[in-house]
Amino acid sequence: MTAPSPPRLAAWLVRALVGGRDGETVAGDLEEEFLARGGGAAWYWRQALSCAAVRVSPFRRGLPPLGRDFHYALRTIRRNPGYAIAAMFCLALGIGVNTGIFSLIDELFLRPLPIPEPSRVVRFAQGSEEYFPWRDTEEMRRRNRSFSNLAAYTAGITGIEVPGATETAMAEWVSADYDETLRIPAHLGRWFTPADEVRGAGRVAVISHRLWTRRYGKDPTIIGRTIRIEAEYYRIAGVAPPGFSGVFPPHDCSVWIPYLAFPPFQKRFEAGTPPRASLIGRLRPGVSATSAAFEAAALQSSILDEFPRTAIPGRPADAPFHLTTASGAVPGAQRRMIPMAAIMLLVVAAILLIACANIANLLLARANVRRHEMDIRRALGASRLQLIRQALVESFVLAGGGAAIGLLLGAWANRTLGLLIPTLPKALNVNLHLDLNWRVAALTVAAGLAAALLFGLAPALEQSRAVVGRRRQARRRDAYVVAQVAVSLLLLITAGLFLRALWSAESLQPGFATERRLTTRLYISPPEYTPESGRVFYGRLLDEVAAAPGVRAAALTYSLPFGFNDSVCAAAGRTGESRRAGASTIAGDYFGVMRIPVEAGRTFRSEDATGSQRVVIVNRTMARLLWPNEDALGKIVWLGCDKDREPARVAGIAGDSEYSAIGESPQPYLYRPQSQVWSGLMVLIVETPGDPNDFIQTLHGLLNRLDPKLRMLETLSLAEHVSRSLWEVRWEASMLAVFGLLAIVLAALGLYGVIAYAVSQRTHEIGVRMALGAHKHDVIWMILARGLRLTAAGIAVGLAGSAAVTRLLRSQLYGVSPMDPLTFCAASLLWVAVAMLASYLPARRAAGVEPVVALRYE
Amino acid sequence: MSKDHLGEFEQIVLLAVARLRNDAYGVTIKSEIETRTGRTVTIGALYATLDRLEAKGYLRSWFSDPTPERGGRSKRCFELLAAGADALSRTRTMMDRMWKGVRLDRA
Repeated sequence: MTAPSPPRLAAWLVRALVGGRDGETVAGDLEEEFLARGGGAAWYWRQALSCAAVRVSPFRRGLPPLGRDFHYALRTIRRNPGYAIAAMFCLALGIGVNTGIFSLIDELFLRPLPIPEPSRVVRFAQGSEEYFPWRDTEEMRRRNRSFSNLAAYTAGITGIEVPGATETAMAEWVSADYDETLRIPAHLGRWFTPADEVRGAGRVAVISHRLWTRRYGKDPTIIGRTIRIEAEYYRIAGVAPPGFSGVFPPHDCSVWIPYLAFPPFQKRFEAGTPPRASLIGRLRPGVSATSAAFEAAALQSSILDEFPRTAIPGRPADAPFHLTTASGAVPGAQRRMIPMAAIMLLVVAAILLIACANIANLLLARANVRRHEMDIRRALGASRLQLIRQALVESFVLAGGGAAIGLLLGAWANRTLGLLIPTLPKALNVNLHLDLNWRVAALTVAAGLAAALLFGLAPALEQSRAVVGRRRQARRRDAYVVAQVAVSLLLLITAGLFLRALWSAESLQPGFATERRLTTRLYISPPEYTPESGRVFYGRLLDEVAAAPGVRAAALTYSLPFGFNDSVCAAAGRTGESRRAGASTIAGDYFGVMRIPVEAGRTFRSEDATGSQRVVIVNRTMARLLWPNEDALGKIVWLGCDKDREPARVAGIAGDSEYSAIGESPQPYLYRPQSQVWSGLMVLIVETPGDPNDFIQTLHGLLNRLDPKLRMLETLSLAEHVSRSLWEVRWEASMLAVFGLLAIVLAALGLYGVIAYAVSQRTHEIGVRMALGAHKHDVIWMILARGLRLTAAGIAVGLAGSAAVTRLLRSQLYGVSPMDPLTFCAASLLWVAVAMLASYLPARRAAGVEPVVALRYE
Repeated sequence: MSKDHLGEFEQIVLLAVARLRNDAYGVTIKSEIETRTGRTVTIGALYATLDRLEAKGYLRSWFSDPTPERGGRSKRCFELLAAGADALSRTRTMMDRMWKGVRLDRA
C-alpha cells in the first residue's frame, strides 16, 4: 500500500503563505504529521489555512530582512564604486530630464492656484469658451446658491507706465469680491471694496508683488502713489501677495483694476455694451463642482429665456457647461499645449528607457563577474527568491542614488528650461514657475522605482539562475543595444524633423514683406490727445516719417501679425449667423508697406472720415466665407457680437496673409480705417532703405521731436518680430535637439559597453587568432563589424518605428513631411558614425593585445 | 510590564519547548501540547507564537539538516533561552501568589 500524500495545492499554499525556508520547514512538519496520522486532507487544509496567521504575524522572522539586503547592497557598491557611479550617472541623466518635464507638466496642468483650499475654487466654461456676456455673469452671480463667492474677471493686455519705462502688461479687471473668492490677503494695503465699484469712485489699482519688486524695488511707501494705466492715473491701493499672479496662468498678471474704474469699460457699461467676463467661484462647503455645474446650466437656460439673444459665434447655446478646478494653466492654454507636453513626456520616457537599458547591460555584465559569488551563496542555502530580492535591493539603491542626483539635475534643467522660454511677443507676460514641489518629487521617485524594476529585474532573474547560457545572455545584451539604437534614432529623427520644421518655418512666406521693415509700438491717449487731435497727430507723424531720408513708406496698424490680435463678429446680414474674424485698424499706406495686394476695389482714403459711410477692406477668405460665389465688393458687412450690429461697406478686397501663426490655414480678416475706428495704441511700420536696425536712432529722434512725451514700447525689425513669434516651435526644437543628443550619447555609451565587454570576453580568442597570423586590421574589423551589425539592426528597427510614429507629429511640423528623407538619412548616418567611434575604441584595444598575454588570459 | 507578560498559550508553548529539551521542533511541540492539554492546535497559530517568542528573546531556533522522512525538508528546531525560563518562573510565582489562600466556594 502506498502512503497517502498531502494535498498538493494545500502544500503549495503553505509554502506560499509562509515563504522562504520557513515555508519548507512548516510544509515538512505538516507532511510528517500527515504521514504519522495516516492522512486526512481536511485536516491538512485546515492547518494550511491557519498559516495565514503566520503570514500576518508582525514577528515574522521570515519577512524579508531588507535591512540586511540594503546593508549588503551598500557594501557591494562601496567596493565597486566605478560601476555604481556609472549606473547612477546614466540614471540621473534619464531622471533629470524627466524631472524637468514633470515640472513643466505640473505647471501647465496640475499646479493649483497659490490660494487657500484651491480645490474648492472653480472656473466656468461653456464648450471651449470661458467668457460670457456681462448680463449672464451678473445674473449668475446674483442667483446662484452653490458658491460662497462668485467673482467676475476679464483678463487682457494693457499698457502701464512705471518709473522710467512704459511696458505692456497683463491686467485683470475684476469685481470687488475677487480677493474674498480667492482668499488672498493683500501683501500691503488693501484689495477692492464695493465702494470702488460705484460710478465716481476714485480710480484704484492693485499691483502684483512681482511688479512691485521689479519696478519699485519693494518700496514700502508705495500705497497711495499713482500708476498710469493707459490713459488714466490710478492710486495704488495694494500689493498682491507674493507668488500670486492672477487667475489666468501662465499669463503673469501685473495689475488688477475694478471694472468701473477703467474708463473704456465704464463707457461700455454706459453705452449698454458691457465687456464680456469670466467667472471664478468658491464652492460653498458641502457643494460639489458637479452639482454647482448643474445649477449653473439651469440658471443659464432661465437667463436665456428672460434675456433672449442671438447665439455667440463658436458657442451654441446648448454647449455643455462645465466647472473645472482652477489648477494649472487656463483651459485654452492647456488645450494648446497638450500635443507638445505629450511629445516631451514620451521623449523623456524614451530617454529613461535608454538609460535603463544601459544599466541593465551593466548589471548583466556584472552578473557574469559575480557568478562565483552567487554560486557560493546558493551553495550556502540562499533561495532563488532571496538572490532575486538581493539583486533588486541593489537596483533600488542605485535607483535611489540616481533619483537623488536626477532631482538636482532636474532643478538645473528647470532653470535652463525657464531660460529657454524667451520673453517674446507671444510669450509676453508669460511666467512659468518651474519648481520642484512634492508632486514633481513624487513623480520623480515613481520614475526611479519603475526604472529600478525595469533595469533590475532581468539581471536579477539572470543572476539567480543556477545555470546560465552564456550565449543567451549575450543575445539579451545585444537585444538591449538594438533597442537603444532604435529608440535613440527615433528621438534623433523627431528632433531633426523639428529642426527642419523650424528652418522651413523661418523661410516660409507669411504673405507680407518682412525684410527692411522696422516696427515700433506707440501709445497716445487722453488727456494729451483726444481722438480728433490724435488723428491729426498720427497723420502728421506718418507724413514726417515718410518724408525722412531713405524711408520708402510708413503705415500704422493696431494689430501686427503674430503679435496680439483683435477680432470682431461679422455677418452678411443684420440678423442671422455671424462669425468671428481677425481685425485690425490701419492708417497710412499699410498695404503698400506690407506688400499685401489689394486685389479688388480701393484702399482707404481721406474721405473715409468719422461722419461718412463706414468702410472695411476684407481679405479674400472673408469675402469667400460671407458671400460665397458672389462679388463681395460693395456689399454691406454687419459688425458686432452681442447687441446692435453696425453696417460697413466693403471698399476693397485684400490678399490673404498669415495673421496669428506661421503656416496657419487661411483666416478671415478685415481692416478698418483709423479715421473711423479710433485707437491710440498703434504699431508704426517703416520701410527702410537698408538694415532696419540702422534706422532706429533716426526714427527715435524724429518721434521725440514730434512729441517728447510720446510713449514708445518695443522697437523691433519686422523680421525679428516674426521670427520671435516662432518661439514655441523654436523652444520645442531646441529641447528636442538637446534630448536627441542626450539619447544618442546614452545609447552610444551602451554600445561601447557591450562591445568592450565582448572584447574582454574574447581576449583569449583574439590572442589565438593573432598567434595564427591574423592582422591587426582583421581584428579591428571583426570587432567593428559586430558593432555595426548591432547598429544596423537598431537603425532598421528605428527607421520602421519612426515611420510609424512621426506621422502623428504632422500637425506640429510646419511644411515638413513627417517622412522627410533628408532627416531620416542624416539621423541614420550620424548613428553609423557614432557606432563606428563607439566600437573603434574597444577594437583598437583588442588589436593592441599581445598574443602571448592574451593566450595566458583567464 | 507588558513585555514581561506571558499569555496562556505562550506559557504552554514555552513549557512544551522546555519539556522537549533537545527534540523541540514543529511536530513534537504540537503533539506535546495536544496530548497534554487535550486541545487541538493549528500549525499556523503555533508558528506565529513561536516567532513572537523568538522575537522577544525567549527562544532561539535553527534549521537542522534535511531528513528523508519529511520529503527531504529540514526542521526548525527550538531551544528555551534563559530569558524564557525567567519569564516562565516569574509568571508562575505571580500565579502562585494569586492562588495563595484562595478557596473557590461553589454555590
